[in-house]
Amino acid sequence: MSKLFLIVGGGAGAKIAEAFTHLCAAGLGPSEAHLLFVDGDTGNGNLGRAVNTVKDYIRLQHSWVRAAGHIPAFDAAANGSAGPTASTGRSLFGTTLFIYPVTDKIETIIPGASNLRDSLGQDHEFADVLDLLYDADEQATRCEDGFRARPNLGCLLMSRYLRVTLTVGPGAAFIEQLSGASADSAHTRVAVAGSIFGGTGASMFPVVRNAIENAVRKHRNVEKLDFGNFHWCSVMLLPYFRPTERRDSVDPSRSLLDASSTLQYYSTAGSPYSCVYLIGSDDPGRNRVRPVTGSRDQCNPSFFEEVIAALALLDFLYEPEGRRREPVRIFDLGSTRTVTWAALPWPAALRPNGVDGVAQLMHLASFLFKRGGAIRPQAYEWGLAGLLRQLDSRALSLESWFTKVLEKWAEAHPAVRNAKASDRPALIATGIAEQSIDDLMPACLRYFARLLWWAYASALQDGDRRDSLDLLAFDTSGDYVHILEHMASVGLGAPNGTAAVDFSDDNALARLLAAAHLAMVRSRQGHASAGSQLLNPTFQLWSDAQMGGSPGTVRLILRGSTGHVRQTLSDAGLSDLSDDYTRNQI
Amino acid sequence: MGYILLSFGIGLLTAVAFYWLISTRISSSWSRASASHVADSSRRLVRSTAIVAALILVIVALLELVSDTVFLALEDFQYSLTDSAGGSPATQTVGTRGISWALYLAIFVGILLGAIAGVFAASRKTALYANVTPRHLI
Repeated sequence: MSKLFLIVGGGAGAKIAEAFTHLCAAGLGPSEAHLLFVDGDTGNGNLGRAVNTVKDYIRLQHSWVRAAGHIPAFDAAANGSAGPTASTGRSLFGTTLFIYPVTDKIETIIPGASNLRDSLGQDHEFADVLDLLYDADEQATRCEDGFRARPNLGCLLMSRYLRVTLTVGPGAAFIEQLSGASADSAHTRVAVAGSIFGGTGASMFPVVRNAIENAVRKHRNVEKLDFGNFHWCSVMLLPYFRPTERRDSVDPSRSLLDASSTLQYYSTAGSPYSCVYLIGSDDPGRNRVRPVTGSRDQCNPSFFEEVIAALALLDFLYEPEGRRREPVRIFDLGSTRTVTWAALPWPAALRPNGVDGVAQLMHLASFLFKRGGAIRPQAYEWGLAGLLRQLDSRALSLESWFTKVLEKWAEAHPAVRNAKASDRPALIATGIAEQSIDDLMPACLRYFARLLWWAYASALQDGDRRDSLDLLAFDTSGDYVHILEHMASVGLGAPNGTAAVDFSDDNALARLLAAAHLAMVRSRQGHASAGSQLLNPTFQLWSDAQMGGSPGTVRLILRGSTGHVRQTLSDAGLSDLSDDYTRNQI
Repeated sequence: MGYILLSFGIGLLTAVAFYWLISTRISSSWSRASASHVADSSRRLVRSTAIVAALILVIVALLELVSDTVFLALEDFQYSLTDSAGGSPATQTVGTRGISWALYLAIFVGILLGAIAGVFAASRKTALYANVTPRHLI
C-alpha cells in the first residue's frame, strides 16, 4: 500500500493540495495520503477552498468506495478487461485522504507576534536589522496575512510556530501517523509544497523537516532516531502569477528578484531535501490576480502551474525505490510551446492511461451537471442531477438505468421492499436516511462543481490568457445518453436475498455514479448489451473530430459547461460556491 | 377457430406495423425521450388506434344492419372463414339481417393486442425503455 505525507504551506501550498486532491480523485494518487496544511492565516481563502475540497472528497469517497467495490479500474479500457482484475487496480477516488489543518493564528502560538515589528523588534539590535531590511509597511504587515513576499525572517517565526503546533491537535495527529508509517515501512515519502514568494510556504521550506523530525522524536520519546527511511522532496512554485498593482507589501515588480534572493538563501542554508522540483513560468503576467495580502480575499483562481506541481508530487511518489535520479528535475515543453495532455509530465507508472483517469473523472462531473432543454421529450439531454430533480417517482420507476442499478439493492431495505413499484424511487431519493440520494447530493454537487471550476480555471484554452494551453473545451450540443444506455444494461451487485444488510457508508447516489463510471468504460469499449439494443453504443472519451491523433494529443471536450454547473448549484441552493473560484479573478 | 385465426392474423400484422412505427420513432424523434414519455405516447397511440378501430367496426355494424349488400357480404366471408378453419358463423339476428359480433370482436381484439405487443417488443428491444410493459400501454 502506497502512502504519501504531504505538507503544504500558505495559500499556494493549499492550491497544490487542491490540485493533488483532484488527481487522487482521478485515480492517480497513492492508496493513502496525509495532508498537513500549515497556515497562520486562518481565514485564507485558498486554504479554506482547499480544505473544503478535501472534505467534500472524503465524504464522497467513503460512499463511492463502498458502492464501486467491484467496479473495474479506470484503465480497464486499455487492457480490455471489464472485471476487477485490471492490471493496476487503480480506480476513481482510489486514495483515502486524511486532513490535518494547522491554522492557529501565529500570535496565539507566539505571544506578541502580530507582525514582524512586534515579534522581533523589541530587541534593539534586531530592530535596527529590521529597519535596514524592511520599510515601515512591511514591518507592520500582520503575520496572519499570508502574502508578505518576505520569507527570510519568516523562517524564525515558522520554526517556533511548528515546534508548538506539531505537538497538539491536528499537528500531533499528523506526527503520530508519520511516526507509525515510518516504523512500518522501509521508505516513507514526505513532500513539502508551497510557493517561495509568499510568506508561509517560503518560510517553511528551510525549517519544516527539522521541525517534523524533532516532533517525531518527541512523540516516540527518544533522543536520537534514524530517519534514513524518510525520503523528502520539495515542490517549490516560483512566481507564476502577477498582481495587477502594488499594494501594501505586495510589489509585483520585485517578485522575481525576491524569488531569486530566496533561492539563494536556500542554497546557502543547505537543502534538507533529496530532490527538489521547481515550477515556474516564463511569463507570470499571463496569470493576473488582484493584489491582496491575505485572509478571505486571498482566494486566487487556480492556475496551470499548480497542476504541474501536483504532477511533481506524483512523480516523487512513484519513483522506484532505490533508483537514483537527478536531484533537480526539469519539465520542459520544448519547441512546440503548446501544452497537450500527452505533453504533461506523467510519471512512468501512470503512462499511458493516467490521462484517461482524468478524462473519465471530468466526464463524470460533466454528466452530473449537464442540462438540456425542455424536460420533454428530450429528457436524455440532461445529466444525472437534472434527471433526478425533474423526473417524478413514477417516471423514475420507468427508467431502466435507475431501476437496474438501484432496485434490487434498495429492496433489501424494508421501507422500499414494502412500497409500490411506482413509489420506490421517491423513497430511494429521500426516504432511506443516509442511503438516500438527497443525503449525498450536496457533497457530490460541491465536489464535482469544485472539480469543474478548478479545471476550467487552470486548463481552459483562452486566447487572452492561455495561448499555450489546449486541454479542455465544452460542447453543450452533445449529451451523455450513451452512459444512460449502458447503465440500463448493467447493474451493481445486490445483496443476496433479503437478509439483514449492512448499509453503512452505502448510498444510492454513489451507486448511480459508480454505475455511470462503469457504463462509461463499457461504452468506450463498445460493449454490446445482452438482450437489449443500444442505440448509442460507443462513447468517445476524447474529441470525435480529433480522434485521428492518440488520446493524449487531443482536447477533452465536455458536454456540460460551467454555466450548467452554476445553474444546477443554484437549483440546489449552493450558488455561493462559484465565488471561491472567481472572487479574485480578472 | 376461424375467428381465432383471423384475430391472430390481424394481430400479427398490427404488431409488425406498430413495432416498425415505434422502432422508427425511438431511433429518431424519441431518441432522447424519457421512458415515461415513450410509455405515455405509446399508450396514447394504442388507445387512439383502439378507439378508431372500434368506431370503424361500429359503423360497419350499422351498415350491416341497414344494407343487404353489406350483410350478405359479411355472411359470405364468415362462411368462407369457418368452412376453411372450422366452426360456424356467430351472428346475432336482428330482423331480417344481423350483427356479426364475433367478427368484430375478433378484429378488435386482434388490433388491440397486436398494437400492445408491437409497442412492447419495440421498447423492450431497447435498453433504455426495457421497463415499459403492457400495463403501461392500456
